[in-house]
Parts: sequence; C-alpha cells; structure tokens
Amino acid sequence: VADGSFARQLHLETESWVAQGLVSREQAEALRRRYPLVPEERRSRAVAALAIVGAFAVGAGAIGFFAANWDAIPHGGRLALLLGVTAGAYALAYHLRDRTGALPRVGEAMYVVGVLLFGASLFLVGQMYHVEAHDPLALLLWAGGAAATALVARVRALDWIAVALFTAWIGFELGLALDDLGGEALAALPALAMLYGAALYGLATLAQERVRAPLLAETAFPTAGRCLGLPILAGGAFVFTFSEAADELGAAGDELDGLLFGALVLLAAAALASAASLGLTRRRSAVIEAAALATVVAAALVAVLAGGDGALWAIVFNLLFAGGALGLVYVGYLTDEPWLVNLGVVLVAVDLVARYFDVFWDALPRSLGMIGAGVLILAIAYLLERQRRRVLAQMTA
Amino acid sequence: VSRRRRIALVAVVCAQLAVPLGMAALVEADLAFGEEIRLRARPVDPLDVFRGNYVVLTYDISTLQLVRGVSRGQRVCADLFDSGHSYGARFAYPDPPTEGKTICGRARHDARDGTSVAIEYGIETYYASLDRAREIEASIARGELYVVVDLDDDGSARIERLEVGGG
Repeated sequence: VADGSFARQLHLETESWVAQGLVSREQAEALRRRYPLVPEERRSRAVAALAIVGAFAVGAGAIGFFAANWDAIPHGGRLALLLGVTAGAYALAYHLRDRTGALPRVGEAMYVVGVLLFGASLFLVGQMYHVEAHDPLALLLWAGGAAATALVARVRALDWIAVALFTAWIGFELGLALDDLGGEALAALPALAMLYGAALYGLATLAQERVRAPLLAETAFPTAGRCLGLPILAGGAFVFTFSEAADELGAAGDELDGLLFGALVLLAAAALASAASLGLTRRRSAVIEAAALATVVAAALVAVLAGGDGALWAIVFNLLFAGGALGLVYVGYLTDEPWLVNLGVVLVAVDLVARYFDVFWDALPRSLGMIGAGVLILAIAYLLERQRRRVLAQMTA
Repeated sequence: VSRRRRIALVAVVCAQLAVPLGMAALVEADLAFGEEIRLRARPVDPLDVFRGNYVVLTYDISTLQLVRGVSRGQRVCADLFDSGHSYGARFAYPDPPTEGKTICGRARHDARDGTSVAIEYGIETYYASLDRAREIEASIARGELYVVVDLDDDGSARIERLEVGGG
C-alpha cells in the first residue's frame, strides 16, 4: 500500500501528465487505481474511533458524576438532570451530524453518548428509589433503545453496542436463573454460551448472505453478531476442554428446570436452523461452516442432556476447539475475511498454551515449567505470525 | 435527513426519555399513596456496608414461621402488628390475611408448614453514597436501624427512607 502523501501527489501529478501528453487518460486511471487514496479513509476511521472512545469517556464520566453527587441533588433535580443531559446529547448529535453536517464523526459519537446516558438513567432511577427490580430487564430495555437509535440514526457503533447489550442481557438472565437453581447448575452456563454464540454467528452470517434489505445492508448488525458470536462460542467450548469442567456437565443438565431446559432447546434449535440455512447459501465456506456449527451444537446438547465421562467429553471438546480454530483460518482464507484468520490464529495459540499448562504444569518443576511455557509461547508467536502473514498476503494477492 | 427519519428519531429519543420518567412516576405514585410503616432492620454484614454503593438489609420479618407449606418463589404474606417503635410479624401465609396491615414477598426456598421460611420483600437493598454509608455504620454501632417503607394495598413495599440511631 502506498504512503498517503505519495498517493495524493501521484493523483495530482497524473492530471498534469495527461495534460502534457506523457501518459494516456486510461494509463493515468490505471495508475490511480493502483495507488488509491486509502489513507484518507483510514484517517477518517481513526477520527471515528477517537470520537467513540471520547464518547465512552464522557458517558462514564457523566455516570460517575451523577453517582458521586447523587445525595446532594433532590429527586426531581436528579431526574431533570439525567433527562436533560440525555436529550442534550441527542440534540447535539443531530445538530453536528444531520442538521449542519459540520462534524459528522463527533455527531455520531454524541449519539453513542446519548445511548450510554439512557442506560445510565435506567440504572440510576432504580438506584434512586432503591428499586429491586429484575436487574437484567434494564439491560434489555437499554439494548432496545440502542437498537432503535442505531436503526433510525444509522450509527454503526450503536449496532455493536446493541448486540453487546442484548448478549449481556441473555447472559445475565441465564446466569441468574442457573444461580437460583443452585448445585451444579451453573456449570451449564458455558454450554448455553456455546449454543447462543453458535446461534448468533449462524443467524448473523445468514443475514449477511441472504437478506438484501437496504436497511440491513447499511447497518453493522450482522458483522457485530458474527464478531461477538464466534468468541462466545469458542469461550464456551474452551471451558469444556478441561476435564474438571466437563465432569460437571451431566449433573448440571439434570438440574435444569423447565424454563432453562426450554432456553437450551430454543438456542440449539435456532443454531441448527441457521446452520442448515447457511449450508444452502452460495457462501464459499457454507457447507464447512454449517457442518461445524451443527457438530458443535450437537456435542453441547448431548453433553448437557446425556452427561457421561467428563474425561471423554474433554477430549471431544479439545478436538472440536482445535479443529474449529484451524477451520476458522481456512474459512477466513476461503472467504477473504482476515478477521477470521486472525481469530483462528489467536485461538490456536490459546489452545496450545492451555494444553501445555494442562498437561505439563504439575509434572515439571515450577521454574522449568515457566521456561518451557515462555519458549512455547515464543515459538507459537513466531510460527503463527509467519503463517498468518503468508495467508493474509495470499488473500490480498 | 428525510422528514420521516427525523420524526422517527424524535420518537425514539422521546421514548428513551419517557422510560426512566415513567419508572420514577410509578415509584413516586406508590410512595405518595402507600401507608408508611417502620420496620426494624440490620445490614446483613455490618462490617461490609461499603460494598459497592449499597447496603444489603435484613429485617426481623425476613424469616417467619409458615402456616402452610410454600415452594421457592411463591408469594408469601405476613400480617403486621405494631410493637411500639416498629412493626413486626410472627407468621407467614401463602394467602394474604383479609384484615390488618399486610406485607408480601417471595419465599427464598421451599418450606413445609410449621417450619421457617426466608422471605424477600424487595426492600433489601439500600443505595447510599460513601458518606451516608459511614453515617449508617456509625449509627448501627450506637443503636438501632429502622427502615421506613410505604405499603401498598396489595402488600408490596417500597423503601421510603432509613432512620438510624432512633430507638
């Protein structure tokens, strides 16, 4: 990729070259295409990222300010302050991005501030009145607000926030319900996370491949769903690569009540249905991804419902995790998606290090173990970096 | 920005302002129309009142003897009596008593009739700033802690305020 100043200079120069008859208009076009003005777009992205980071800082600061000065402000004043600041953030966002168009990136960041303040209002009002409501519901309301704002204002960062909040709501609900059951039930949480992650990735990929609605095409919902779904799926599977965790799966499954059992079946059904539909798309890796999703979901489901030997399940999940990590690299290569390659590489590294500690840590003296771990990590970093670069270079070519 | 999108944006923002406002209005209405009573309380762990920004409270009426068996999560009510400084209760019933003041909550676990059951009334969390938490802690060391709650006709309760040191 050309350096920004060179590309800009070339774009200017080629116009005079055409005027002087040194090159034809077509040749000038070909040269410009070879050195596009990508750095400009990158700078714009950097500004957007900076503005979003600023938005989070402002949101967190405002919440901290309210919390610290809460007692000094009467109830009515607190409400007026919360709502006024939220409305103000949205008004400023609209003014900067949509009305004048003067600072579109900062305007988008102010939309993010508005959504963060909406969430803060929900929790702070509950706190103000010592309300012991069902806490996760506030997350669902927040996610709904974020999704609605994202769709109307078309702010891609909010798509990510909405999907993340929705995921947090699901996790909070499931965690609370499992915790209420007591006993070994909480051990089923990683299995539910696997099913949710698989469903989220499958549905989001399906939406990306199949749904042609202009509104969806402008949003980052499918991208966010895919990028959040896969790590959640991998995280759940990773837990069961350890036999101690896999040992508790059967007992956890036995303790699930009707509601949680329903959630388990529903998530599995959603994941399997999305996998089946994904398999029918024209995506290059459609069949591989569909088969992988179906296998992982079936394994999680059978492990929870049937239980059995924890050591055996640990072997199964180890194979699935390692196969999945390598499969991601391959799928990323097939579909020209570098983030899949990068995620696959990270998971391979995590798996190798985890297995090293799992197998050798107790067998070696502590100092030798540390040296071995360090050498292993360096070797993995060297090999993976080389392989990753090679794969990414091939993809670019 | 099209007119339709502008209207949609205004609607979304208004809805986001209305939700916390509505939550506050509901609680304010409960507090305005409920009947005020005083319950004796204590923090679950007096050494840990600074945990987070809230104090977890337990009441004399948090554990009561059951008249009839209940399962976890089932609604349980207690008939309250005035003991001078505060209100108390002796028994918990799955159905609310028809007379007198009643406070209702949920059973924390399964329990057979004649045994004790832990009840959650929804008034077990009190949010306080660090300074207020210090005051509470000092008052607990000196004397007793009371929570003034507003009781609704259906037996639900909301915390109105905390009174410390007054016994």
